[in-house]
Amino acid sequence: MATVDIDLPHVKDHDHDPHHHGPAKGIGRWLFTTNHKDIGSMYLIFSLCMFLIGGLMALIIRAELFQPGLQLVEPEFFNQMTTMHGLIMVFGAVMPAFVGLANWMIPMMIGAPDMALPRMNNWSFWILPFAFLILLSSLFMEGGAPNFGWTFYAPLSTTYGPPSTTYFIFGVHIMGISSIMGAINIIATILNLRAPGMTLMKMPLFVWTWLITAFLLIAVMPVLAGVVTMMLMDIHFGTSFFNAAGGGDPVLFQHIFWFFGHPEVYIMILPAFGIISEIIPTFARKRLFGYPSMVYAVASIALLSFIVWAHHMFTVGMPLVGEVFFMFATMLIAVPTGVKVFNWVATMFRGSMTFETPMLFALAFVVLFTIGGFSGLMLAIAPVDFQYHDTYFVVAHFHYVLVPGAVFGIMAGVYYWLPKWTGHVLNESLGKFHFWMSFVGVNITFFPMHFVGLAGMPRRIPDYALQFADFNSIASVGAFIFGLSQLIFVYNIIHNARVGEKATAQVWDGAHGLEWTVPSPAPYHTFSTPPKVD
Amino acid sequence: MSTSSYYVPEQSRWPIIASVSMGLLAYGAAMTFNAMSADRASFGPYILGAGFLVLFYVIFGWFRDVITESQSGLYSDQMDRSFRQGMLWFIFSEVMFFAAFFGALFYVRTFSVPWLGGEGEKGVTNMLWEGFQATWPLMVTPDPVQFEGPRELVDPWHLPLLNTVLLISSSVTITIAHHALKVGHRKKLEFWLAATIALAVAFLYFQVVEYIEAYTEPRIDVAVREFTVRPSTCSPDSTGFMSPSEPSFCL
Repeated sequence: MATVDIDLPHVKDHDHDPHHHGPAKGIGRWLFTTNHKDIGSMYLIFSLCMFLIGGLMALIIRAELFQPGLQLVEPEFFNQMTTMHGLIMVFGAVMPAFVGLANWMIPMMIGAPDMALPRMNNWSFWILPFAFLILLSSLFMEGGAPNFGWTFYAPLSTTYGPPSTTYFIFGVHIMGISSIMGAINIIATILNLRAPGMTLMKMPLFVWTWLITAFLLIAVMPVLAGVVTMMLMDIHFGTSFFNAAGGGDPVLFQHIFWFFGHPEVYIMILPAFGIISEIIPTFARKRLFGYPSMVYAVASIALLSFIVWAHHMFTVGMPLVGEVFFMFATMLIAVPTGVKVFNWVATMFRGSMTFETPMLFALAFVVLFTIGGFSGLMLAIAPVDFQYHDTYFVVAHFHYVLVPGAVFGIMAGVYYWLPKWTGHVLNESLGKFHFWMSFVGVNITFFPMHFVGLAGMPRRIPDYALQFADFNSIASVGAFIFGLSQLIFVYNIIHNARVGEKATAQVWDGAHGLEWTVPSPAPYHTFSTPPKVD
Repeated sequence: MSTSSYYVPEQSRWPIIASVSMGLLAYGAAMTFNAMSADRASFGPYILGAGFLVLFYVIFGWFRDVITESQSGLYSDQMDRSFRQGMLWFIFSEVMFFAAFFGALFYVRTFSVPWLGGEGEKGVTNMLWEGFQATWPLMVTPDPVQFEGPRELVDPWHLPLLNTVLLISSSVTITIAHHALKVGHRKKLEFWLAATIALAVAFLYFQVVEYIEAYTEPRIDVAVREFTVRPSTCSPDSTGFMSPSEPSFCL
């Protein structure tokens, strides 16, 4: 390629003074930034806002369910709340939070100067607020917001959906584009920007889990885009993908949706596995037990996730061979998951344990996620699932893996790395206050749901039979405890950003890894020249 | 593995403008489609058009910046690998997007239509439209009132053949352009690149014609319409146009 001499005022090579180059001033810093730390912060703040909005919707749901009968909201609005709560938590809170953590930490963990494609990085963040503006604006549209559940099954979402469904479809498209670009960036960074000597099997597990998660994202987000495009065609262009009258099949929707949807649930948990695998060795002051088996377990879970999707559809009337295949394939996932839980416990075994806030969240993760895993195994058994299907047992199951699972994993990671971001030591009393309130709240909320579910209470219904009243009011009280205690979380983050003892580079005395070799707070540009890893 | 310096661009205004464009496109398209189906006028097409204008502006400006950076020698081999890997994974995502559609075709053809016709394990669904005969291609739908069947099949030896020829010849011209670029024949590169773009425009034109025909005169089954006309976004010339070896791919 010919090299042409051109003067470029806007493309200055700043490699010559990497450490004297700070962030730009004003709003422009955030709008135009290409810095992985800025973008990581924006992702995390965005995710926190979405978490609070989605949480507010959950509280509306729980307030209505506090007593049997209809008290606060119309059933129609209740359906909009369950739908929007799910969509916002999945696509707005959990996924962006993990991408934010990846942005902040992966370049520092592998000794890279930044993300591989910094401008695309900015783009993948900034389209998210537009996607959620479109989605949230549907609440104020004629006919209301999407009301068909976050799984938007056809024909509820096609033949019977409100007009805002079209906006929802395009919103989902933008979220998908954002995730795909984010994932491409993360893969390219991990595969191409590692410091010399940082071989694949030396990478921290958070990096490994994200590499595999990014692969899952690129493989399934386009399938989600495909299914919403088919919906768009069915709604506006007279096709019949999901209408048997024209030769299609509503069950086809569920197959395509869950081909995306099942890997999606691992997208929301694998990075949390990575975070926990960073935190437990630090506070047990031992190396992670069975590092290679951890990597292989994550890879196996990811591969298995492609052949288990129809366990969400045991009651739609699949051929028997399908039921049996998907039942056994699903139960197989318990093996690599068991390996992971075993390795976490073995890491702690005879370690010099201390129980700082991140460790408390990590321990709660191990215990409560495992409970969610076990209820998942129960649901995997096809004949038993016929009874549990679409009951509160399912709600209890996936909230156990997503709230004390994914969300606690994120919170553990935030508390673990916050001193590295802000340069201030964590206030342990405040952190522990938040932890215990959340831990108690989450269990009061979701544990009773197992019982009402097994007793037959259906999900997504604003009213219920009298015999479910006690457990429901307990769950509602728990939800408000959990919800309000997240204000402590917000306070802790702001408090830590402003005040606190100066943190050392290593922050936690058992911490190992490249990110703990740079000062706290981490300079705006780290590793402009790669470190040597042996 | 890492070399000593990796070019991290300064602040850029293109991503945020591109985000605005995407917001306009999404909102405008949703508004347009809703108004179209409800048979009323709306601002949708204007918003959509504005989105496209901003998008073209971004593509032009962003590509220009990247090409200038590349030509001024800011990019290393490592940077080059990032671009190639990014493109590779993007193509993989496109493959998965179309896998969803081919999966749907497979399911409809192998399962749902035969079941509706009374064959196979779920043949009991024939009771929904008793007497419905499963055929492929599906010329008579289960409910012809709701979903009118096609009157005839698209003749593969007309528009589809023409488009296939356009498609394949565009991959030839882009390859010639690529070779010219590698050996530094600027004029030759410009000519063959222009030829490729001309072929791509012609291809897109005939695609639009084909879609409009398929939509307005139902010559092929509504359920399989998407599959018999080739979607243009997956065509080798739109991805080949920004082939992995093309240094101007710019994200």
